[in-house]
Parts: sequence; C-alpha cells; structure tokens
Amino acid sequence: MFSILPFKKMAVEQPNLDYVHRLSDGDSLLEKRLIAVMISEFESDYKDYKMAVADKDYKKIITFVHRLKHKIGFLGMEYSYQIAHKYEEELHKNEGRLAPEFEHIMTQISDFINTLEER
Amino acid sequence: MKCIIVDDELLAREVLSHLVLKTPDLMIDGVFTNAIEVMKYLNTNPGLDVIFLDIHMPNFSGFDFLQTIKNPPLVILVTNDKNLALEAFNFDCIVDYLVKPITQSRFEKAMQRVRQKKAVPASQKSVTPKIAQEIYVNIDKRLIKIDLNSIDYIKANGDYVIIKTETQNYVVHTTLSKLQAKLPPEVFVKTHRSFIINCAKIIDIKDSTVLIGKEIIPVSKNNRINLIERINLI
Repeated sequence: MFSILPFKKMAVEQPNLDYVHRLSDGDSLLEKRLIAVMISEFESDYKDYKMAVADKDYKKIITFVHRLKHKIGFLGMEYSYQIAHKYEEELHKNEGRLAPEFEHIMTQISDFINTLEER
Repeated sequence: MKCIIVDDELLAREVLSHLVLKTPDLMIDGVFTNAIEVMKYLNTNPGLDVIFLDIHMPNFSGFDFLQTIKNPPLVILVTNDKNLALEAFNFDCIVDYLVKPITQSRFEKAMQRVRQKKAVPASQKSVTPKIAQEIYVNIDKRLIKIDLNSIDYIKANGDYVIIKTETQNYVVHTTLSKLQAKLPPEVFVKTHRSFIINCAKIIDIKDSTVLIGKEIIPVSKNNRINLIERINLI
C-alpha cells in the first residue's frame, strides 16, 4: 500500500545538485555538461508531457513521466520520485489523480533550473 | 572488456559513459539510442563483453531486445523502475540491475559481478551444488536429525520456531536468528521477520509473497532484494 508519507516529505524537499557533485568529484567541466544535458532534456520532456496531457494521449504521458522521473532522481528529490512513480502506475490504469502533485514537482524543478541559469 | 551503452535518454548515456571511462578494465565500443541499432551492431561486432541496456525505450524495449537476440553477452539493465527486478532475472545473461540515477559505488558493484561471472568457467556456470547437510534439533530432550533439503520454510512463533518439512512440522524452542545462523545462506533466505524459506522450494514469486507448496509466505520490502539476488545465484 502506498504511504501518505511521501506527500508530506515532498512538500519540504528541494531540488539539489548533490548527486551530480558526488558523481563529478570536482570535475567542473563534467558537472557543467551533465547539468546542461539535464536542463535541456527536462525542458524538452516537460514540454512534450504537457502536449501529451492536452491531447489526453496516455501512452505518451506515461513515456514522458517515466523520462522525467530520471530527472527528479537526478535532482535528489527522493519523495517526489515516489510520487512520480505512483503517478506513472496510475496512468497505466488510465487514471491520473496525482497529476496536480506531479505538476507541483515540475514547477519546483523549473524554478530551480531558472536559478541555475541565472548563475 | 568491451561494452556498449543503449539508452534513449542523453543524460543516462552521459552518466554511464563517465562511469565506464573511470573503470580501467572497461572500454566503450559504441553508444546507441535504441535497441534496433544494437541488433545490427551485434551482427558485425563479435566479442562484446557487456551491454548497459535501458529497459524503457520507445517501440522496442530492452526486454523485447533480450527476447530477440541469441547468445547475448552479459547485460546490466539500467532503468528508472525499481519494480522490474523479478522480470529482469528471468534472463540468464543479466548480471545486475541498476536504478537511475546510478551512483559510482553501485556501478562498481555491478562491475564486480561482471568480473565474477567472467571468471567462472562456462562448464561450472550451471552446476547447482547438491545440499546434503542436516541439522539436529532438540525436541523433548531428543536430538532429531532434519535433512535440510526436506525443509520448506521456517516460521517464528513466540519463543519457538516451526520447521515445516515435506512430511511434518517440528516445533523447536529457539529463535529464528539462531537457527538462521546454522543454515547455508545461499539456500535459506529470510523473507520476513517471521519467515525463513528454502529457495529451492519456491514455486513462484509475486511482489510481496512467495509460494512454497500450497503455502503463501510473506516477503517484506526490506528482504525482497536479498531474495531476488539469492535466487539469481541459484
């Protein structure tokens, strides 16, 4: 059974770059490249996700939620990752009750990316 | 060792490429965005050691690919989905299962498994050691011998454990953890705080249960990965 706990934790967790810092181990060029790729793929996947939602194309929605899950994990958002995973499971049953929570996560990441681009 | 990376996500390809480049005995022979390209590559490039294979790819998934190719090299699955491990271990070529985002330490562990698998001569790969040990348990001041092969599972019951065999049940005054210490760990696995099972007796596995004989045994979330890893070894 799915616990309510991730919803509560999701509200307080913030996107971060801890994973990419650990992976790059001080290699700033690598870090910049990975972050640039993440931003580019996130923006593209999120745009395609929104189009799929507008078209009510469940197969495509699932595809892009699945791809966006990787970016959520990349940004260290463990509980949001669980919400996205649950949302993906719902979509496989042609349901989408967690769409608002998923949208909230996407907004958090978009805002975070904006702060990165301002640096 | 030669490897290829197959993933439709650029971010995943970049992370994997970085991890491979940091591994001295591993070199990248190709990076692909879909499994159909890999089919063509394998026809003309023998001698590949490892494939890092994404499961979820549009049109032709990693599993579709594995069902199609003959004599695959070793495969490390890479996925966003933690729940596909059981399906993954249906394929003999799969040595490990990495969940994105992949960490350096988890990647290194997967590579250790590849090296171990490569080091085992082919003639020994499918040999399952015969278990011929037994344990003695104290019941009513008598030491009774139980053949380990006959044990289906063991259940904790207060200050006692119930050892369920093919023919009868033994009630023994001990704890599950004390008994577990006497059992070969490659065969007997704790699936739940109250259950140890004989992996050789498993009929099937679902998300949170295993079927042994006619009994459904619970598998807790914490013990699930251990169980999956163990059945892969057997």
